[in-house]
Amino acid sequence: MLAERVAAGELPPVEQRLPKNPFVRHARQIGKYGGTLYDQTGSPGGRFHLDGALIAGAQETDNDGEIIRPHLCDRVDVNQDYSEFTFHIREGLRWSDGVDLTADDVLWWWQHEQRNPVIFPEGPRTFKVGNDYAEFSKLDRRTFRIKFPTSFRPCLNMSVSEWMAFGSYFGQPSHWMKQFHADFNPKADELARQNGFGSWYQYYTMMMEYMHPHVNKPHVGPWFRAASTTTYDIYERNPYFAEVDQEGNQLPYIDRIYVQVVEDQKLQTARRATGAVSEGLCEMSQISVFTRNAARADYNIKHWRLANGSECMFAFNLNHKDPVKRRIYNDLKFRQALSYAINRRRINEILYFGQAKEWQATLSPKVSFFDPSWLEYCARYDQDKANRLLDEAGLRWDKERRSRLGPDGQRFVSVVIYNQQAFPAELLEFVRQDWAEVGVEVIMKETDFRFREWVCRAGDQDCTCWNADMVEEVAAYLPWATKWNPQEVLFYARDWWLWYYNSGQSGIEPPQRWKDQFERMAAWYRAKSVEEYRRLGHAVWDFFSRQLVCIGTVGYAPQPVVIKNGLRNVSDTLTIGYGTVWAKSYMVQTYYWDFPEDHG
Amino acid sequence: MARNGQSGALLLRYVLKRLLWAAVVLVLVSFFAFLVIQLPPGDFLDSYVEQLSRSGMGVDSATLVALRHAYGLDRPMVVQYWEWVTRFLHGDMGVSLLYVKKVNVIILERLPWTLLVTTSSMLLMYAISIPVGIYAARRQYSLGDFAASLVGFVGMATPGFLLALVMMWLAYLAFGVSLGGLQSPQFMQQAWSWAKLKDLLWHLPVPLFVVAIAGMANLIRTMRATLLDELGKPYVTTARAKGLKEGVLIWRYPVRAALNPIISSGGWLLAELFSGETVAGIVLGLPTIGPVMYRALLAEDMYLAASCVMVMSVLTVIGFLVSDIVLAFTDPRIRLS
Repeated sequence: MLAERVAAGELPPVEQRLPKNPFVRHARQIGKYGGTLYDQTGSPGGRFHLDGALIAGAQETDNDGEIIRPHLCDRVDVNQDYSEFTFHIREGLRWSDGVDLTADDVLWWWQHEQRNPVIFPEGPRTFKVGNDYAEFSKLDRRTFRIKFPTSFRPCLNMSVSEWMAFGSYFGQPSHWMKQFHADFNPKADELARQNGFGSWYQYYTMMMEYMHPHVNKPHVGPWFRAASTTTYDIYERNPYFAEVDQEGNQLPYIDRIYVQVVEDQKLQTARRATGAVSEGLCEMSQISVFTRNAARADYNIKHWRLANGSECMFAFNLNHKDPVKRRIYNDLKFRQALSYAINRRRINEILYFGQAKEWQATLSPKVSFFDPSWLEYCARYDQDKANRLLDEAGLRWDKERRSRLGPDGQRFVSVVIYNQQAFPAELLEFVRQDWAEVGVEVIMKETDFRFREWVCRAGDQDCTCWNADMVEEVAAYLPWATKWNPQEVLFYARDWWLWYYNSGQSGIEPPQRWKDQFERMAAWYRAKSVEEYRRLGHAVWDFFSRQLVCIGTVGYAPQPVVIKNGLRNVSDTLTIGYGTVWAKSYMVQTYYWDFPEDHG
Repeated sequence: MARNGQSGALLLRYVLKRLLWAAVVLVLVSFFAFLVIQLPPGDFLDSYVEQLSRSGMGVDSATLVALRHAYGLDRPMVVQYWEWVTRFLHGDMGVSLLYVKKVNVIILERLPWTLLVTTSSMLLMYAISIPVGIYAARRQYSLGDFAASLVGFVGMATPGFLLALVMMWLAYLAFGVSLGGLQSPQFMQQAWSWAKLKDLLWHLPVPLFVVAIAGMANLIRTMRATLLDELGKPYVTTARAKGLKEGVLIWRYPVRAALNPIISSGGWLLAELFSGETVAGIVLGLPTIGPVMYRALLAEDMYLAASCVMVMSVLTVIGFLVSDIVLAFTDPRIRLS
């Protein structure tokens, strides 16, 4: 595809397109160029299975999310106390349109986009410690420095991908974005109106998107969006992508990613089962359909794993407005009892063919400061112990010994609200039954995604659940990204957090041990050395684990994947998830087709 | 001559009156369409944030307030409605925040497919149900009559989405037709060719049949009942007594009379086809307006949703108008009352 364009004089030869020292990616086998990957998405411009592969950042992480290594920057220098980070961009790195990517792009992004009062009236959310923003400065054409007012080690973790930085300092091609910016183009308002928007910043905000860049927006990842209709999107190989394989061939091998918009979930499943996508995740509950169709639809199935510390974990509202419920939910014995009461073996055997891990919800065991006792903590199935603990917590059986009564003598019923379609309904039903057996009555209530969020933001929930992702070393250290964060997603201690965050101006004063925990977390993010990072990290997570704020079920569930026959360099074993940016860790740029001409 | 002129004037007055009513209906529909879209709590940004957080990206509330102001979503509904209507009348349907495209572009991309699917389903529906209805009336209580009724009722009673899934799967098993859409992915980016047309023709039968079958039972029953009424009338007996051939008799007189209710129902049939197309469109992944409208409503992408509703309404109103006028031509009694 590119050779023709070079021959036609439209494109310089590959040596001139690559940086001086490109990133060398080890491909399992040297591939052939050409062909198309087929994928599908539920909404136009929305997420698709392979989209993580479009991202490239200053640095990257390995598949286990353990280490951080240079990627588009070939070196990152850190000062003694982790407050200054100096990034060296690869010499000759270019955007997909051939324009140099320099320190100016990074500075422009920070000064004219993120710090622009019209685009972000309240200031950017990212690169902020306390109330202070980081300082970006340019040292030379390809070197920039990010300086924080205090130590801020997570900056390294944020540099592994734009996704994790909640914004992108590697994703904005300033030469292209300037046309939408009123400070640089006096006709930006007019341009916006021509495209149906009221003013320049509306249009600009829409063009900011970096993960699925707009059509022809210069990009640094392996593919950029070349065409977009309401029924499909086409991503085409970036002729300037800065990676080569071990023999010096430029990556990616595959020319195009074709993404079809398929609104209906069932149709998506059916299309995967009939080989309409090149690679896709199978629903565990439909696995027999997939295996039965494998020969006919010409694909094979590989067995990967999901990187969820727990497929589903439950968090009771520690700041509940009802004093009786608040008292019970705050009693550690109650939470321990509920964890003992879960028959994890049954869930595993029936739903996951015994392939998942029957562990407590916690970080990945590969984390450097990991403590193996966290996995075992209250994870054993022990009904007697659960009953004893519940008795001690003041929940007595009713006369018929059908269920337990609250300390006020009333029926004690809790409602667990959860997202539609987020978990297998069977899993929740098994947990409900397990808890009913020790007399704790819960109602599993499926709700709309937004409704759940509203209720929890208002602090009106009894209990809610989510999966435990972001548990890898790299991901868990991103500021507040973890699901154990008390003020997001599970909202189990919203008022305590508010009190701490607003220095006592609002919210409810937390008990001393929680004040200590919030302080510990803040100190962890400001750790000045690896030892301090590990020591505090252990303390933070030890507290979360022993407090059992999130009661886990089973984790690291099997995830079958369909792969079209003839697609090469696909891993046989992978643990995938949000923490390693999904497809970014599959190394899709090294995929190739045995017969590219058959997959045009 | 004078009689003809009078009749022509009557017809003109009738058409003008219909047109006026159509305009009034459209104004009302536009207002209610906009109102209904605004009814659910939240707006596009809420659902945008929902999508972001589903995929793990967060947006803080300050940014949200700023965005809401920037897009004018914090203004009163009437103001937003007025702006939309005035722009709509100038041929500018606004912008879709979901697709980040002008609504005109989206509608233009999808309208031809919608028209293709609905009009061909309508033709298919008539082509099957009128002959079957005639057959059923002439052979009342025969095995064929019962069979036609059975198939018709099963078609009416089976939810369209289920039928769509089953038929699509069968088409895949029997003919290897790729699932979803009207074309195989590899043809999407190519210019029209014989192979591409053939691929389209392979994909068409399932959606056409699914959209058509929902209304077919109704049409067969209507045709059968009205024709039975006509067959019992004295003029038929007279014609038979005079020795007119049965085939000529049936087609020339009772069938023509029996067609009137079918023509008059053409308008609402169109509305039914559009809603059938929406369901089938989502399940079958068709490149028609239906799925876009559904997605826009879910995402509260109001300009796109309101414009889709309007376009569908305009088409439906045109359908009514056409069927009214055709009926006025074929049945002069309508014009006079």
